[in-house]
Amino acid sequence: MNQPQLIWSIISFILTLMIMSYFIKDNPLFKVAAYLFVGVTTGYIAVILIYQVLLPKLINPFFSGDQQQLIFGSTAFILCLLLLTKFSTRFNRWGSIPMAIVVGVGAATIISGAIFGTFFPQIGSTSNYFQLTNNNQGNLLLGLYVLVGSILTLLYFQFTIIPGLKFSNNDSKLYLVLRFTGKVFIGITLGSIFASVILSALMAMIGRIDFLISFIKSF
Amino acid sequence: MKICPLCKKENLEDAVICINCGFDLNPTSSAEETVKPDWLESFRVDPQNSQADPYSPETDNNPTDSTPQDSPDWLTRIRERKQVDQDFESIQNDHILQNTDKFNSKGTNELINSLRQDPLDPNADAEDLINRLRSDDEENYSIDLSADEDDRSSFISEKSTDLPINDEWVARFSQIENPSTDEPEEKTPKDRSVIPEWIKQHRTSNASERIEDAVENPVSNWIEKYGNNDESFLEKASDDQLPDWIQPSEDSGYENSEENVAESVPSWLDDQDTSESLEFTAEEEQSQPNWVNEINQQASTEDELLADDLLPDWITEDIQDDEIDLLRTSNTHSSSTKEDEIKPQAGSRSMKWDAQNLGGEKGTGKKESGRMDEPAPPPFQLDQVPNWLENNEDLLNTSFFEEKETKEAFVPDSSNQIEPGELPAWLKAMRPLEAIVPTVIANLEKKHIERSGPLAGLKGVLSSQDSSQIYSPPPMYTSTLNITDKEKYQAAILDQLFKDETDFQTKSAPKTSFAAFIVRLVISLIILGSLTYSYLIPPAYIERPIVFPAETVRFASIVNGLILNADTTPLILVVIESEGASQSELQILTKSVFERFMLKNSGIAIVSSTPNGTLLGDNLIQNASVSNPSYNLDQRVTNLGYLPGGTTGIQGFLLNDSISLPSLSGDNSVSTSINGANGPFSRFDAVLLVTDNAESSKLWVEQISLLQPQTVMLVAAAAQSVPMLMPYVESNQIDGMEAGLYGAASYAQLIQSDNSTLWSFWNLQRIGAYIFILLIFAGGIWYLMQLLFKSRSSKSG
Repeated sequence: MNQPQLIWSIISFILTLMIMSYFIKDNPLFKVAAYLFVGVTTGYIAVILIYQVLLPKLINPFFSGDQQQLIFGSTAFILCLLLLTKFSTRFNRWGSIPMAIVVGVGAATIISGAIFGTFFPQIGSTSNYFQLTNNNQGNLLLGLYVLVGSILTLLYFQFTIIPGLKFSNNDSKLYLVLRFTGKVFIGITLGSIFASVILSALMAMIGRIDFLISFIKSF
Repeated sequence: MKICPLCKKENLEDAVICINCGFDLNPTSSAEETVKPDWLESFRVDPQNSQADPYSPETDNNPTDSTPQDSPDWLTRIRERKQVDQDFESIQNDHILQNTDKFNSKGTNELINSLRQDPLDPNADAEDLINRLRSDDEENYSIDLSADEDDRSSFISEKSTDLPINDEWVARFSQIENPSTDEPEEKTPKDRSVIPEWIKQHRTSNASERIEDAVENPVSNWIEKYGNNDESFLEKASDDQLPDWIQPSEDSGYENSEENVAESVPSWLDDQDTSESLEFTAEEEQSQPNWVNEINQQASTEDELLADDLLPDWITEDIQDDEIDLLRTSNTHSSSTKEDEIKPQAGSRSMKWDAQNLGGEKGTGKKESGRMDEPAPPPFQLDQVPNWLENNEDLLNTSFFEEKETKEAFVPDSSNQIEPGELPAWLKAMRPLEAIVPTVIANLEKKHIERSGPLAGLKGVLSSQDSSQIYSPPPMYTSTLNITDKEKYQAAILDQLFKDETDFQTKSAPKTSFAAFIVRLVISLIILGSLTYSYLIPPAYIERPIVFPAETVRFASIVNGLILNADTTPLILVVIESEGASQSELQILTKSVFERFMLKNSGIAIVSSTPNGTLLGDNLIQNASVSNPSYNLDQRVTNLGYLPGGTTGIQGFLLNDSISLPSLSGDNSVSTSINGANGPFSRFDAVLLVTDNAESSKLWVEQISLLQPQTVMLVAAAAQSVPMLMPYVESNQIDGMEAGLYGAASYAQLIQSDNSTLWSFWNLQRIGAYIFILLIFAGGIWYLMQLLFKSRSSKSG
């Protein structure tokens, strides 16, 4: 271990202990370490944005000599200036132009990706379990499970009442049972996510324990 | 049958008085008809014209509105007279002689005009006004002389008792209404208090004719003609034409009064003469109605009391006044409307008020002419002022006929606050307020006239508007607040209360109980101790995965295919979607994969949509390259850096947009190959998504399956993002996935990798998972025990 590695290992060891002090209770050491991480991360992000976004995409096009880059760079520069007018109470309406572009384009991208990248593929994935041609009769039960689980989960999120649709007592009881079953599926899903998060947190703690023990063993 | 002209009742042919109203049906009336002047006849020719109100503002103010053919004769004569009066204003001095000649003329109309144009006769105006006021009294109070006797008597008696200032007028009125048919022969011509024949005619005529007479002032003209100016006229007049009361009487105390003809005082206004003339015989009193007798008695008594005031001063002054204002004569009728407004109706029945009213009129006229500055005398004397006005000195000292002075008199004085008087209800109902308070008239004139809407043309109908104009914002006052020590102390307490609410207070963490602290500390120590112990002494009972997930198998197959089956070195795009919190897990997951890629000397490009992702990617590559020292990181690895724009940036990058392409760091083979390709993204053989963030990973999966569906998509996901990415594996949008540590262990098993760190972490994770399972069960049991204890305590309690 060379000297720089030793120094950074010592700093990492101290910061790790400061974070683990939270096992006892919330204390200033934990807060100092947390604030330090937040500050360092923010500074690093600022440097990244300057050197990887602003300079190459906003400033360099004016000096590149490429006309296409100049046009795109000028457009971006004007939009950035308009966005700065958001700080002015008199001209802030001009800042709505770049905001509208960003929000509109982003929303369109997300919606199109959600529909064609998630919604339709997931519907197709659910129906794949019932394709007999695939010779996967063993997955029929899994397909039924996925289908019922999807339907009951959607029923649980039915919070509106259909006008003119009257439920009798038996119908309402059945509807409540179905909703409860859907809630069970949701509980299983959230439980699995929680277990996955616990495992990830446990892996982070194991990694820190491995670092601490390794650091101590290195001496 | 005789028909009473007053009450229209039929009486016997030989009846002297009306059996109904006691009206005198004496045949002298026939004689009166013979002596009735022509001018009066001319006025009575057209009874319809008498219905018109000569005092209407339209008639006075707009004489030219109606054509001469449409206007009645009397109106035409009035207009002619006005014109003549105006002419007289321009030639005042020259008309004196001319008027003297007209006095001698016999023509009735000429005589009337000459008398009215006489500048030497100011009494004519006074007489006209008196007669006009009398006629107005009848109109204003609606005393229908033709009504029943009872009604009339009751009305007059009521008025005589209620009105404190009309006694004299009532007395006069009684004299007019009940003249003695047997006038004493000894009455001198100056004894004009005896009812003249014009009054008899006036009595027999209807109310409209009286109004007509009042308009033309025949009384004053007649009086002036007989008793004031021309003695020769008296000589020329025959006995049957002269009224009885004009005949000279030696018994009268006014024998020498003929020498004072120049005074031109209408002697019938003299109270003393009037009192002497009001001697009714017993028969007459019996024939008179009771109410008339009462009025006569009261009037005679008051006349005696007023014997000292034989003539009002103003009459004498006016008569002796050589400078007569012709404008007053000319304005007598033109300003009739204004006079009606100013005229105090309630007090007009008082003769004294008449005198003062005339004085006031004089003052008004002089004021208009601008030649007199003396204020007019008050309209009421103290003995005639009603009770509600007795204490109001300001009001009594006020000249009600001068607007300015009246306004000043009614300005409320802060130093002498006067309580508003309480008027009797009957007086409020019948009394025009402007008779006493002319300021009301001024206020009415100031009121706003509506110019539009349904109320257009009406004046002062919106009272709220006037109120809004009257009231003004309250004045500003400065005041000093004296605070005692006690009040200061109380204010400090109140300020402290608010200060505690407004001051910022740092909220400390909720205090936990010692038991909770112990439990928390124990759990932490158990986890740390067990993991440390398992790390130092690896357990032998932890089994490695035997069943491999399908996605992991596919992941391994794809990676092997990229390495082993490819003719050229693969170019892998590593997308890092993590902030670094799962750096340990991701390092375990990717180490074996990167080692496999490095065995083939694959090119690796790192890109991330998070700023920290690029740094994490470099760290992962460097850790994996430790076991492959032959791998040239500088030439085979490039970091494309941060990809800004989120979803839009990802989309642009997948579309091979050069604008959104991250900056290429370094000059290595990977960068050259990327720049030389038609599109940066199309050059990559596979995409390895290293992530612990399911949301950002979904964006990549969605956009790649949408825009670059042929791209091989591999995912190395931390455990926390696996549940959310598993559906995309089921839909084959993700070709292979290494899901968590279990997937990494499976992949290591599949490739026969000897990764000691992986298995160490595997053991610790298994132990830690068991500890968490035990803690969860322990917590559940503790919770059930609490429920049992609570149920038992509730049952026992």
